[in-house]
Amino acid sequence: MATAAFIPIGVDPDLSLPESSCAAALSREGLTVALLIQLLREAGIEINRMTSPDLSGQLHQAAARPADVVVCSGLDADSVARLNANVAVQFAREVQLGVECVAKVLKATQSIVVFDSALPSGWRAGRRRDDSMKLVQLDHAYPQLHPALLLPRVLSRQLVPGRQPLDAGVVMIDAAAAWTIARLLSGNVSSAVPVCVRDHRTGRVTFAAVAPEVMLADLMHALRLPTLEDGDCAISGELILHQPADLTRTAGRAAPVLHICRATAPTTPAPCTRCNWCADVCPTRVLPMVALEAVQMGDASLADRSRASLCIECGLCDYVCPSRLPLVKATRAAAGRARRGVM
Amino acid sequence: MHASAPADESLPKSCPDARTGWQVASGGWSGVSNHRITWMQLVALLFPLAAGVAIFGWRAAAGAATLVITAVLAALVWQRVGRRGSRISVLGMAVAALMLAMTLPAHLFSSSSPTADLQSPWPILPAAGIVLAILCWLLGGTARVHPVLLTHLLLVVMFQPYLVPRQVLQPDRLVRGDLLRVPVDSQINPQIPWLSQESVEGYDAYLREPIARRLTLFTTGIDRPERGWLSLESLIRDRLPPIEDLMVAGEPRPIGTASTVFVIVGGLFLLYRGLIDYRIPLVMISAAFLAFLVLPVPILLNEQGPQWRWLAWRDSAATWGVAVTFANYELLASPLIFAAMFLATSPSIRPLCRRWRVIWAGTAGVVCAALQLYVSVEFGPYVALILAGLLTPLMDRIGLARSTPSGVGNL
Repeated sequence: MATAAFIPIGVDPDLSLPESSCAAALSREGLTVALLIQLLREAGIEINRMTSPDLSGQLHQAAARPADVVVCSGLDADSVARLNANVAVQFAREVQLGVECVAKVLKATQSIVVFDSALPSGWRAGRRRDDSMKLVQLDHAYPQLHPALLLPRVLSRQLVPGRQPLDAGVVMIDAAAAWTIARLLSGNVSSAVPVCVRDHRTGRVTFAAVAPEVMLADLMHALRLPTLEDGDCAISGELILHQPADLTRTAGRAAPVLHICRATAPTTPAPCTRCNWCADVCPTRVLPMVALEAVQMGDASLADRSRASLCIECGLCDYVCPSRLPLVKATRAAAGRARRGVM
Repeated sequence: MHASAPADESLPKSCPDARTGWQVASGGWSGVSNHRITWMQLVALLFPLAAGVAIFGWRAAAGAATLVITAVLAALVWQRVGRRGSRISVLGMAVAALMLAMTLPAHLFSSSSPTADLQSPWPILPAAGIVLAILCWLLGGTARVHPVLLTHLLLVVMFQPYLVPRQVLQPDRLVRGDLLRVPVDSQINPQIPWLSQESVEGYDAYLREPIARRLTLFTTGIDRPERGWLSLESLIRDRLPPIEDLMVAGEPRPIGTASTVFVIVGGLFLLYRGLIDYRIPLVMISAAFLAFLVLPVPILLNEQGPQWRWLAWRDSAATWGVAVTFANYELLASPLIFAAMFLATSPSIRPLCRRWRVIWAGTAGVVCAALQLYVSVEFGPYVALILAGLLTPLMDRIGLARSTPSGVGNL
């Protein structure tokens, strides 16, 4: 895997933390969950994505419910925009520091870093030798990085999709979040979030370390990316989920991966042919075609039998459906309605 | 101590393969549309069709083309009728018509009657195409009754004498030969393999009694042997052609089942493309084979009538060799393999749940075997599939009822 340098945007050019800062962060007085949550809030950083679900919420709940394991994911949804992998390789020491700090505030007994088996030995070379962190190497393919699929694989702990990792006694962060936390706690460097912008129009992938208050539109301008024209669109987070990006959002509150691509014309779905490919490919055994039928017919019990509540919205069903049916949307609607018991 | 969710078999255990996962993450769609799937089904049908055209000549190709063209033209009309019309696709209709053509004999494309007491059979082809289009419109896309099966059985009911194939081209007259240029008053020796048969000068084809008919007459106990008795062993040894004629080529049969090898190749193509579930043909054929060994068959026909035996029972009159050979003949003489590969795997008639598909295919196989033995080898598999398709809604309902988040629900 080829690594790319991170371009500093609104932060100090030297992105590495000195050794003294690392030591200072770990031995910081009053290092508590509340302090960490406060620092994140003051810096304008909200971390809520598949590899680090609702970090502030996790930390807040961990104060009341014990978590004995911190899992740091170095996996990425996109095989090209590999933000977590790049952060893990280039800032191994900082990621390690971030994980150790989170483990310390939670009083976790175990820390695990998960990375792709293709990750070069730079990670091993960059980290300190005296840590007790467990490294787990995976042959990773999307959507293995989802907590509901990752935790059983790494820890043999089951997690019902839709629930927080804390239900399994785990706090889950990704390498980007760990790096951000390390910078926050080290004290004498500016806070920053790593961002990846993948421009599908030109094939260019850019990595940047951005001050949290920088708007995405300004970020694109600073990176000298071509402006969005008619027919272009910006997608935030996982490309398959097609979440439109709000370019007025700040980098600290946006998803760390931004896709710029040509918008595709809407398609008219064909009738379901009962091929069952959606159910065959689903990693959590949801029945998307049943969920679709439940939503169309307003049948709450059928929605429940479709197991829609187990959906992790990975998008595999949409990808394989030959009729181009909106299965993720239907499953989401069925899950919501089954929970409420109404249709 | 950590809080853990209760063990639940419904929780995820596996992940899609790497290729699918990364392609999904890159956004977009797989590109495999219904249209493309239909094209691949058409390609798969070309294998047995090519064998049929080779072995039965240009009349097979012309007959199939007539049926397909008529069905497509009818589809273009019915597409404009009501809301159901929008569900009919021209390509899908062409594939269904081709499948129907494969279940019919090649001699239908002719203006001369096969025997003196019958009319010329060619109107059956366009009529079948029109009926198929109407049934597709009536039954919709995911009806539990396959339109091809229903159309074929309607034809059997109305035109059964016309549908018995008796001719096969001589080995040196493949493709270009005329199936109806046969020496009417003589039949070839069935004991000699087709490939080894001597050519008859001045003619393009041979006249042969179809093995399916011979087997049906025996297993239903209708046959009245000339010498007063006929055993199963002597039937296989003296009256039936070598099994290679069924496996490779040389037996008068419907177009699509001319060569079992090519039917299997077509099925393997569908498997390779991931369009069919391997469980269905595998279980159906296996279940039928075992049923042939278990269901009672006559091992002797004499003046007193048939003597029924269970072939799997150790009986000196029917050794294991005879039993297995008989089961092989039943499998290969009927359109069972064709039906298992191309029709039983259709999403419209097979259950959704993988576990229930196995049960469904096994049931279809046993019913098929019973119908072949006691009704007809020629259309027994088709009737079996129609009956099995009626079970599908029940199996889907049971399969879904068990797939609750707290249950096992192994789909």
